[in-house]
Amino acid sequence: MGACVGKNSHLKHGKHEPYLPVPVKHRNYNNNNTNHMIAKFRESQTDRTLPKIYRLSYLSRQDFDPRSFDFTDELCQHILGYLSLEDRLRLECVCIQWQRLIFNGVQELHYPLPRGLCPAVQGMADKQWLWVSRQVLRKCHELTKINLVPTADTDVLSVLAKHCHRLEEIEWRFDNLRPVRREVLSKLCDECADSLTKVRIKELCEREFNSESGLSILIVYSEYLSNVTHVSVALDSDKCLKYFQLFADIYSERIAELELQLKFSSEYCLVGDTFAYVSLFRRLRALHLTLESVSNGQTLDVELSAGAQLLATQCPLLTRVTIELRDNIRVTGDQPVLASLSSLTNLQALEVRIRTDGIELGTLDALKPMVKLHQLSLTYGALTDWHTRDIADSCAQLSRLTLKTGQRLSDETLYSVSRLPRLKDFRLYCQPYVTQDIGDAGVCHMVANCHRLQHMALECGVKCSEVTFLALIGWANKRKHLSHRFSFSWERPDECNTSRDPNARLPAHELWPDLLRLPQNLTVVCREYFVGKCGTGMATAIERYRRLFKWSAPVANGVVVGADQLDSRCINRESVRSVGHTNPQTPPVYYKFARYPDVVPQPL
Amino acid sequence: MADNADHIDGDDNEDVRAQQNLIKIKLKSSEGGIYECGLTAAKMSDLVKNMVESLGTDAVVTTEPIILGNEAVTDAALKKIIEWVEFHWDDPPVDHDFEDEKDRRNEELSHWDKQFIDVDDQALLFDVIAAANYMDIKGLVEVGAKHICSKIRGKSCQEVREMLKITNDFTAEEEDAIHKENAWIYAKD
Repeated sequence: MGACVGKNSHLKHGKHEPYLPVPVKHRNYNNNNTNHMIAKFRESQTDRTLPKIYRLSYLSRQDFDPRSFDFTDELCQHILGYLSLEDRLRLECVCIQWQRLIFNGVQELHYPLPRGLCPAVQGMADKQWLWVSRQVLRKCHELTKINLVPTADTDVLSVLAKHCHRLEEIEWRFDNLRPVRREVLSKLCDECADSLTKVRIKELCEREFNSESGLSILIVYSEYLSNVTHVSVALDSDKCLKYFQLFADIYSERIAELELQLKFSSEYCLVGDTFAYVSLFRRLRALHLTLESVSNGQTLDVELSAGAQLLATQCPLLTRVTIELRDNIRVTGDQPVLASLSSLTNLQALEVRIRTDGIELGTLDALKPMVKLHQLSLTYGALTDWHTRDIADSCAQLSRLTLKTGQRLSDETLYSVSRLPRLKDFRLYCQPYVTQDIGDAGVCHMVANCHRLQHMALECGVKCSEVTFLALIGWANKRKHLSHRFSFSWERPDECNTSRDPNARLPAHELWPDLLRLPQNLTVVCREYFVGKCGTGMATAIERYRRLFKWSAPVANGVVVGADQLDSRCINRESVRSVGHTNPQTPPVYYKFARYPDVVPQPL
Repeated sequence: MADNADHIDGDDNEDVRAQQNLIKIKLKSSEGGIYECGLTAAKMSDLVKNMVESLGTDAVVTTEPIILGNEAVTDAALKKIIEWVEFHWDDPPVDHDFEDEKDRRNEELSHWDKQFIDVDDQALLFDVIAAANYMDIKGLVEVGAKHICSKIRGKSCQEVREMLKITNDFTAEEEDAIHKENAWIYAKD
């Protein structure tokens, strides 16, 4: 009893205002033992680090104004790291310290610099702009990533060789008619030998492949480039494939990640050999393959299953595969794509993008042998509710799932997906500006059944109401220590459309006041489709999505609103509604509701 | 089974953190002021966290305050810092798995942080940044840095010098040379 009282009084005593620190009166502490410990701890601390000074004001209080920006180099560089490139250029001459440090925070650049950097450069000639870009490049000593957009020339490579010695990633293009001076190239490779790990080569495919091209440079400088583990290259002729074989022989033990763009044509049709050479990389962990046939109208048969079997036996470490099938590619055998990949049983992540008509994805049953598969991404124009029906039985380990389709989906998909117990991240992309049969029921089902779900994006028209938001709030409150994110698009039902004036429409947070009361760990991004108000925005959104699948004609089975139909529908609605609007070009409204929503958010 | 286990673990962890924050420890500024702060909140500072871990929680709670000896930790700065960690200690951790979380560098400050850091006294602002850097509170240093950068965005060199009270230590020739080199960015059309 007594102990109980004592405990309570202690609690009462220890209570104080949560956010306002209260000064405590100094007392005499008599605990010798712990004082000794603290003293000992301090000693051990001073051994390692000398007391640090972060502001010069403290060196001599008299001479310095405490309101002056007088940080030491380390902290100054950190603070200036949040500036944009334009600000860095303009503020270079503030003082000597800034001049020395201001460009050190730049880690990633394109060459030439983006033209939008400053309005004054719009009219500048290309040659002059390249010169200016090189001048900027010289100052960025800590650059780690560079993308050389025009073909690499001696000028820019010598700047890099001289000033940027910490490069980790280079993306470059070579033109064999304008060879680069070898001594510059070898100096660059030598200076960056320790840091360089990633090389991406974009060939100019129409030129003849010879010893001046990017792949042969990798072969020639293989001694220097011993730390390179990630290579990206495009192949377009049989001659090029010969170089690739040589490259594979030299680098077979080094490369962990390989990106290949295969452009088949009448000059390049050795599909089987290509797979054989890829399988030479014994330590390959990730493979990214893009297959396409560039010769006009001729389809090319690819024996995908044989290639997959070869990779499965030769590359035991291979766990991540991305396969993109583009124009005029046909998979031989009667097997659909997923079935022909089923021999890759070690996979942990698989991405399949089918961007051409006439290839079948097949059922997800084929993924059953991949017991470790935890990440799956499918881009397939004809993906329907039916495909995902048995997803929980075929790939029970999935933690990330991305689906992109041109079809109309319903809550059924969400019901099937919600049976995945480990799902953490789910993204669904359907045709923009088409409201799907997805609503409260599906979202609530997902939230209630997937205990690990943290990120859900429904990038398609969703019919949801306050029920969804209440479910989301409950979802985030269940696990307060994890951040949650939900994004979706919606189209205003007609009953909400009281006014034709877009400015008088109720914004989302007035329709659903719950959006302003979200818990700290929940972010909701909601994007409204304004049909008729944003003609341009809609056309580009649809066009961009169409390019994903290269839709040429409406998909056959009638479930879909075909692309052509879709366009005419949008145009009609636009022309009907835009009459009364003064500004028909307004982009769609994008709101982000996030932590501390104590103010009405601004449209993004 | 395993699923449930880490699920519960996480919740437990959260409760422990909340309970630990009821325990108050004392921090002493370089000017001698002593302030109370929740234990979990104070542990947002890596300096304090290391100290607490090597001394043991009990020792820290019952004994004399932790002395923050750096000159930048003035009374006013320490009060500000405690206010910040007491608000932020239960923030959800950054999940590096998600791509959009990686891009926090470019993210705007939250409304609360903006109001918090927008102080009139520039000496205090700089003290808070330097003190947060000394105490190794990465989130707060970032808030301060972003605030300064947002204030000098789009300003000219002279305006920045006046605002941040920086003396121009270039000679006229040196400054001209830099101006000439970057002339294109100042050019009007």
